[in-house]
Amino acid sequence: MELNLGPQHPATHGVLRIVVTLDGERVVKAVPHLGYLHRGVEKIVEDLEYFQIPPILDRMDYVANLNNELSYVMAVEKLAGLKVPERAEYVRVILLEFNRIMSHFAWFGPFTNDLGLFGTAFLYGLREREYIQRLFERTTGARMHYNYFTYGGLRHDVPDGFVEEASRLANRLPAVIDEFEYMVEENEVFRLRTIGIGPMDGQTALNFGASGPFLRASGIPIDLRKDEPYSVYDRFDFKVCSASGGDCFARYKVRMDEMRESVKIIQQALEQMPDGPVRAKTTRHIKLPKGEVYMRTEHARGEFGAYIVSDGGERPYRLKLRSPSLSNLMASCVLLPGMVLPDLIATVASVDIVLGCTDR
Amino acid sequence: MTARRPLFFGTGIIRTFRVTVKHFFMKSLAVQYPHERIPIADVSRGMLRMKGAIDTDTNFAPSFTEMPPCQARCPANVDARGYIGLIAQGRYDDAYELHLENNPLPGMISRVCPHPCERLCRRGEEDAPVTICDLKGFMFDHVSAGRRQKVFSRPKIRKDKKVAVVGAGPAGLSVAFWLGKCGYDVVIFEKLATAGGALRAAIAPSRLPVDIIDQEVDDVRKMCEAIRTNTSVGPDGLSLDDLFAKDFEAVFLGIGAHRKIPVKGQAKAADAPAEPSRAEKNAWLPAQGVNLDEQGNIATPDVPNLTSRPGVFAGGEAILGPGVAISSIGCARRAAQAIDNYLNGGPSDYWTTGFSKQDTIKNRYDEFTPRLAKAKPGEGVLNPVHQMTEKVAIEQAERCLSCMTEECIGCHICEKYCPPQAISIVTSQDKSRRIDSYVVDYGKCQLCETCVDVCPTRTLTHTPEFETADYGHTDMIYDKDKMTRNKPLRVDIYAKGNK
Repeated sequence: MELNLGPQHPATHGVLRIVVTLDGERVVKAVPHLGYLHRGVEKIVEDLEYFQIPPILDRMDYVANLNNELSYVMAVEKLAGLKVPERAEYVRVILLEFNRIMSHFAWFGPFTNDLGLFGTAFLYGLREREYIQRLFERTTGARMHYNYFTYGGLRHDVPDGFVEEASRLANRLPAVIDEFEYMVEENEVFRLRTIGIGPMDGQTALNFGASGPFLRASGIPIDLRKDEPYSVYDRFDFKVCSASGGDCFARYKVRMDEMRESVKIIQQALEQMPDGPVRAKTTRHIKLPKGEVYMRTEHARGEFGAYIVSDGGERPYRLKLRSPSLSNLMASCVLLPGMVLPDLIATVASVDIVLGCTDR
Repeated sequence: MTARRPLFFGTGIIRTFRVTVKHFFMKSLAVQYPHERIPIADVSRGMLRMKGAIDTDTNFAPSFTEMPPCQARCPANVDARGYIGLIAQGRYDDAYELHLENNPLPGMISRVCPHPCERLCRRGEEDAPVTICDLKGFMFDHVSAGRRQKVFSRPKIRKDKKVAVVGAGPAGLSVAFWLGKCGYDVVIFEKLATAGGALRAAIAPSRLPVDIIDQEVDDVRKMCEAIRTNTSVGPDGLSLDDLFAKDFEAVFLGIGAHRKIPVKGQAKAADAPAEPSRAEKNAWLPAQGVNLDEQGNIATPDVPNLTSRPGVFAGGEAILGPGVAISSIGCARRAAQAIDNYLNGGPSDYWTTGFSKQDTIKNRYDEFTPRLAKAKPGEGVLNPVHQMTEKVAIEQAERCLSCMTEECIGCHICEKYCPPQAISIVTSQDKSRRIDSYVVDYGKCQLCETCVDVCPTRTLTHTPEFETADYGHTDMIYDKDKMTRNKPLRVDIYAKGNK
């Protein structure tokens, strides 16, 4: 039997369509169909000046927008040779880690929802995300599409009371994460539906170019924040979280641990944050020298890269964006044949894809 | 890889029970949240609003709290936006009078100024900056003799107080002009045979013609009792005590930085090595009660421009060190205000009743059509001979974007840079200054703040209104009336109990 899972289906988290061939309840073949959210971001930005591009990139991975912006603005800074002020780097790190936590919260809720823990944990996840979102709204002005990073730093300084509010939030988060774990980890349904489901071995994941929590759950502790420190990440004490199982439970566990590490980074950054300007002296209409640059950063979902080819003009000649969601989704699809259908839902949900990023 | 399964079906349940007992008295985290409501952010990025438009009568009054970039960058804060707007309207005399409030020597300055204002001109981000310095020269050449006569006339109400100005450089001449305007009797002492200071001594006549210096010195002469050339104040001439003995109640030292400027090139600090003679030449001052700082400049520690001796003020390069002439003039204005405060006990009427106070800012940019076409090649470069025709000058002045006036002038810049192309503007093609339509399509708008960023007049702002949803696409297209609204379009749900 052929089953069309999606594109409008609550368990596919967006407009992913998987054509599943079933033998009874067993999956024989699963073919993902992409492109329902294709907007041609890479082509659109070729007509835009460099300062106009971050709002478009916000619309890619709309759950962890600031992580998208970072790769791009750092690529521009690298090519233009701009030096970002210290304060801006620290604010960036704080917001990025909050953004990572937000993204994991936004994953945690729907994930438990897909597993059949309908309602409770879903709302808990989104509720916590809301508190961080309010901090972001006060800081950047927008709830979702921030457009806050710009080459040379930030668009404007953080508001008064940012440090107090952020540290209040950060100090409470470990207890919140404990609560989440307490809520689902010992749950019969949750354990049965995650432990041993969709196990991925590290080599296959690497071969598919998977990255982020998906890869680390397969026992390969690769984290660009540690391996290739960018911004000011080399100044913080945190560890790379990995797990060995490679199954849905390991992916869940890695994300939970990672959030605790993010909180540690936020707390350290808030302590060390210096005063000063938040924007380097640069013009809005920047012209990049002729050349190419690739900048990759650790997105909430893995390695997000921006590859700029400049012909010396005001607009990029080409901007290629590497999306972690796409690689991870492709890697996960080899796991699907042989599963029962509910396990397919759990596996796809545990990968944490955002279709805005996959399709671009 | 083999799948790990729980050992038997009930493991989870047992664990669940164990954990439940362990946490039996644990307080649930969910009750720890008070019903907190964070106030709406100052930077909320809701739907767009225009504070005002040039051709619309709204009850919005521009606040003009922020200077345009050109004026803010100018060391003397000359209102370039204002006089360029007046030039565009053909009101050269008014432009001249406005200019004189911050800089009484436009003729000389237009020939020598390195015009830092043009580097910050917002128009320069689009094509080429407005040639502010050339327009200044054009304005000086075209001002009528009658208006000059009127402006350079001493007021009828005299203060009957004498002020001595030492040095007839840019600083000294400017102070003499403003103090003359306030009603003081000013006498300028110049040790050389002619007035003009470093501008006459060090700038090549090819760059700064002598007749322009003579014209402006003659203008300032009308504001003074006298300009005493060949009269030195210092070790080989009059002392400060002598001046005070001659009934001068205040002395202004505009004695420059005693330097030799190379005849070619700009009057920049880099060109002038700090000669040891500066400290030496100022060495007579400490004996007179005027202290110097480490560099040999006159020290003005507490009150701006007031030296350590009461009644003796200083300004220009004498306290700033070598610099550009316009910096000296800016410093001289502060000195004139300080002297006026010192002698009068408060600011004179002149500072509050000048041209800029009588003529509204709105008048200065209201009546001309902005020229939105791209600059022609070569228009952006400095024209050293200052032979602008009237047509070119007016066209050039019309390129000014009226920055920070908080009223839309229909410059199309937001339309040009909107990433999803949600804004469309139609402006009149004729001379009348009209914005026929200004439309924002909220079906496309991303609320990304790009238009607010690039708006030179700062009229576009985000509001805390987030209710963009409507019953049809046509309702989401906002026209000019909706854009210039003064009240929220809907009941502001965020305002309820949230402030």
